[in-house]
Amino acid sequence: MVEISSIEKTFESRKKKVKAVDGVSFKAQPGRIYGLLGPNGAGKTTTLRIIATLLKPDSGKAQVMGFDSVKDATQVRKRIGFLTSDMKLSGNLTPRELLQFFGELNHMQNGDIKKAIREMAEYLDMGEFLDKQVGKLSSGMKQKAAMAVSLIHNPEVIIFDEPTNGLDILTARTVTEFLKDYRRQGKTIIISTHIMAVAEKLCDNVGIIFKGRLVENDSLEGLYGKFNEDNLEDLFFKVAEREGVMENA
Amino acid sequence: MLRDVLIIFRKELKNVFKDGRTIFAVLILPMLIMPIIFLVINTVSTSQAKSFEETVYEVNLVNLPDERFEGILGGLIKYRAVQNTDKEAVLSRDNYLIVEFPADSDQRIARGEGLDAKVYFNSTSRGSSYGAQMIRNALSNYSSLLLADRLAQHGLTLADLNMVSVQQEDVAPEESRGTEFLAVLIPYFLLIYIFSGAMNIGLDTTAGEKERGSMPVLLVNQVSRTSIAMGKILYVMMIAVLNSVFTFIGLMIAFRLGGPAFGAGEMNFSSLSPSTLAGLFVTLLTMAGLAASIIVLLGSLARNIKEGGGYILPIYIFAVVLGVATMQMESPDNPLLYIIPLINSIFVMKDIITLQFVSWRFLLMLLSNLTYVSVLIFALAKVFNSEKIMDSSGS
Repeated sequence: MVEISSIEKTFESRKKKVKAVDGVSFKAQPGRIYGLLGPNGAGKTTTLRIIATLLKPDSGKAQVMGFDSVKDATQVRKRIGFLTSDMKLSGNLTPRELLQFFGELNHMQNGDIKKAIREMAEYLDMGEFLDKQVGKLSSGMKQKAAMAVSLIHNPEVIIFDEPTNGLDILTARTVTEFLKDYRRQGKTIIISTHIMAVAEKLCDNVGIIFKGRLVENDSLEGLYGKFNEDNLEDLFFKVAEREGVMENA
Repeated sequence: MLRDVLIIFRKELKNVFKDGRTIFAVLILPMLIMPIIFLVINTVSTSQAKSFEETVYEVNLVNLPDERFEGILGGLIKYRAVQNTDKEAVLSRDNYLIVEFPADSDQRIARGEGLDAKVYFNSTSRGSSYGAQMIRNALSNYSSLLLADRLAQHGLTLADLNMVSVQQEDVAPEESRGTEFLAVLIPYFLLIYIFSGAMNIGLDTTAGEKERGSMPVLLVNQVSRTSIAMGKILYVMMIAVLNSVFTFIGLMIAFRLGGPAFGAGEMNFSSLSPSTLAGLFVTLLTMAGLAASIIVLLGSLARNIKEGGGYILPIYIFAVVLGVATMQMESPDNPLLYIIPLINSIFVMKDIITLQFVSWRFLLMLLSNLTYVSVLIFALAKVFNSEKIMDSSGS
């Protein structure tokens, strides 16, 4: 379970001050996928990074399974798997070596790491390329390796920033199937996306975020009912129009 | 904590040593480049000198006062006397030179007066310059001959003009003689290679990690960020040390192959005993630690590799300038200089190589470098524990 209460985050530079997250609150439940929807620059990544202990909120709280993301950062990290589609696996190590490395980073015992590698390789069908250099793998193989890396320690909470961004249709399918399967295992999953089709296919609960503010937060069905719509894209544009975002687009 | 530092260190090292190109660039190339440069320059200069020696010059001796000059010149170069007085030909032919004596040189010699000889040569041609130099040498010998003739008329010899005879006694210990050339070049090259070896690797493991988007995933783990920072410094330091050690080996091979051709004279390698090498290695370690800390810190502050390169380049240029500026300097006694980073290491290395080891200088260098490294590690840990480490943008 992940609970976010009234988090705020402002980035300051010499030139300007930008409020990236403005009082965002939501809950993500085990066995469900929570989707944070919004255009680029809406504050999705910042919110996810606060949950993942990478950023500290200026105010408000992010709790992962009861642990505070600032005060109990180490406990939170133990329980989350964080992945971003920005991550480009490269270099000369093999997926097996990377998994070993990330297992060690998570202070797993060597025997447990070996077992987890075997299971992960079987689960994600990585056997064929487990010992090939990641720099030489296809994008689909790299994506599988990246997912395995962030999940080697079997976290209870999975945070995935733009999971299908920039992926080809086959790789995107692998990712969505993988997320559905992890939901079936009872994991708490939070994703961010600006692709409505992905959210529609995957998410049980949806939060719509514009300019750092969470303007809608409900189950997918709840939102369809509230806006009298049967597809997320139209619903999203209705909300955007209501919030005055369309005028500035 | 050490265990976590080593996890990062091992992974980075494994990654780099699985790449043949990196192994070549970090280990093999530094060892080969200097011997190759020295060998090529040596071969070219030797073959050029041989070619000059074998060139048959055509020399127009205008108003030659004395046939003895021809004999002297013949002892220095191969030449053929010609009558061509065309000065333009000096420009168009590398082996053509003119020596012009005054028209009344016979009478002037008879009167005991001096001669003005003019040598026409082309300074843009190495062959012509070599021939002209030999002619100048011949003229100098000829001048001595004429002087000896005149002195003989007064019952004197050239040796009688030498009122003070000089005898030199080198009191430097035998084992430290001939180490000056090594003391000039080794600190310079080690400094340069420490920075050049660490630069790309240091940028790749920091700003490169941000650019590839792998930094957040690395940070969301059980290992403390300070350990990640220290692991990266240790890795960059190791590469810088390896790069320098292999450069050192390459330099030693190069000096043996072609040092004397560079005016190094007789070089004394016996000063590089195990204790000297150990002293050099310790100095190298602290210098590499300093360079690695600076590079990793600046790389971590950069949003991408390009920006990081912009931060580090001025430091690299500063190191090169420092290396060049101190090349010909001897180690001074001023203690302040031994607390200035990089300069202190250069002077201590010079001390060690010339076997003039001074313990207080070494200790001051060691302590100050360790202090700087500690401060830089502290600053880097701050950066890794701050949100600054997340700043990134594509190149």
